[in-house]
Amino acid sequence: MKKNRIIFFLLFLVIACKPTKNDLVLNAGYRPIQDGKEDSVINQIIAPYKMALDSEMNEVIGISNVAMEKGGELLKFFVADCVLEYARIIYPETDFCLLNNGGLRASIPLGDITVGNIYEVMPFDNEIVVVSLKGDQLLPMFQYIADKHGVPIAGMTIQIGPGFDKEFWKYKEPMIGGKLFDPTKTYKIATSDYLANGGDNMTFWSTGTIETTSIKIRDAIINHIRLQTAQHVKINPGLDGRISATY
Amino acid sequence: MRRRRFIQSVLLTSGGIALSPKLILGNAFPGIKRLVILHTNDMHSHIDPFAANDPRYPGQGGIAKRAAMIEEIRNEGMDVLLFDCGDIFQGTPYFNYYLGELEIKLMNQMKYDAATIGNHDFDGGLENLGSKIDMAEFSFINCNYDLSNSVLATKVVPYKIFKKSGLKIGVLGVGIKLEGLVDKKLFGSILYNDPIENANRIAKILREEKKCDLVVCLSHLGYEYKGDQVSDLLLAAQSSDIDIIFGGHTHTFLKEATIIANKHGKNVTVSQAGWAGLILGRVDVAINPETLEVSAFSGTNEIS
Repeated sequence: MKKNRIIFFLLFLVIACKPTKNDLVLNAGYRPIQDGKEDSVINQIIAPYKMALDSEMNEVIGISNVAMEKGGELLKFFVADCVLEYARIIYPETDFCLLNNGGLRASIPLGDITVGNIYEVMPFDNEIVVVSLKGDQLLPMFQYIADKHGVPIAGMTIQIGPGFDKEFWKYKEPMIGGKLFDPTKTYKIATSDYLANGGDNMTFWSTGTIETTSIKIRDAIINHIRLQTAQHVKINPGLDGRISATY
Repeated sequence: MRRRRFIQSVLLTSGGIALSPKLILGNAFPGIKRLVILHTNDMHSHIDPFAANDPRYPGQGGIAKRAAMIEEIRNEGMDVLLFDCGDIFQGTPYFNYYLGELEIKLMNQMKYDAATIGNHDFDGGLENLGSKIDMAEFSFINCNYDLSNSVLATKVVPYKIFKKSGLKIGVLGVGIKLEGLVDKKLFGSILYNDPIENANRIAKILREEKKCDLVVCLSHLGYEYKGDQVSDLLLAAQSSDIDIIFGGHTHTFLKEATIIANKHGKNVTVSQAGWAGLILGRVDVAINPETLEVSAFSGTNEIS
């Protein structure tokens, strides 16, 4: 094999100096799809589908004062706030909300927000559920938040960070509704049906009881934005330190 | 922020490839057989380019541009294979409304040769995936899902052999553990089997029994994990008979393909092309028919 590599290298030296017509050019790598021309047949196939969708998806439902990037805390907490708000419409005693990072698939841009934007942020048809869980069952949930270096939450705060072992993050002082977490209390937690059924390896729900709302997470976000807009309010999320990585 | 910078650096690097001195093999070695393999993964129904005001990928991607780029590469004259490594579905309203129909139509038009199944391809349910596989003019390949009690039983093959450039190319596919990732009601009766064991089993058949010159694995396992979860890098290290692994799931952008020594110390090329059709991956293969030595080239890498 080594010999072969040397042969290749020698060939390269010889041939690179004197290219001929039948050269084999190796030109691999990753090419960005950004500029360049478009294939017109492809556009023709897309056109009827796109036209039917665009009328609905291009509707502007609100304006955001900031860009909420995929993976960023602004987006995570904004969505968690929407889910908690709509869970409380059905179950007013819902204590807090917890979602996963993988569920938020795109960014919300600065400026106009369209229906299509929200479909891309939350393409899944997942519905909001409220899970009742005994306090002591929340410990693995808090550890999950630390393991993931933070997930979308609302109605609670927690401090997380690396301990002596940088790979293994720990948590402290989980506060729910402004009060220190009580392991003897039963909490009502808003999340998605996908997660409550163990999605994204959230095994900590297993002893809980699940109540449904039939509200899609996507609809909660869309409706929240629409209602703000109806009141002439721009979307203006900020960071409130609900997860502090200063452990 | 760090990730965005990384993507910019990837774009720069890829752009640089076209300008950098190319590796040229002359007709002093006339018997050498050449093949271009193009690959995508995790396109997630991204048919249109990202919006001009997208905070991360403004105006980038889009299938019409990808198709034109693929056509341009085909017109270079070498034989081309075009693969996708799963999660074709889910991510834009195109999937919510049309359940993957348009994605498959466009892949047919681009003449995809094969794809493997990603976890999100189950999002419309098994019946839906089956009906979309029926529409596809390319094969869906997987060897570690037991599909025998599902509607997919006759629609997915464990491997497929292509003949291009006078070479026999054996292609197998592996998928990620569905439990804990996909809602049980979506994947139903499908059973997950060990991907490494099954990939090695099929690769051996392709290499020894079917006498393939090149063995390629389409994977939706993910590039790499912190823990011991099976990944493309783990599969590569524990494999025998696989030359190239094309991957998906972790949406990984690489500067160049990763080279991993397999169980017998032979090099395996591991590549993944980001997600959402933002980039097109390309690996060039050269095979010396006398020694049967495979050389895969990705970016500025040369391995043999």
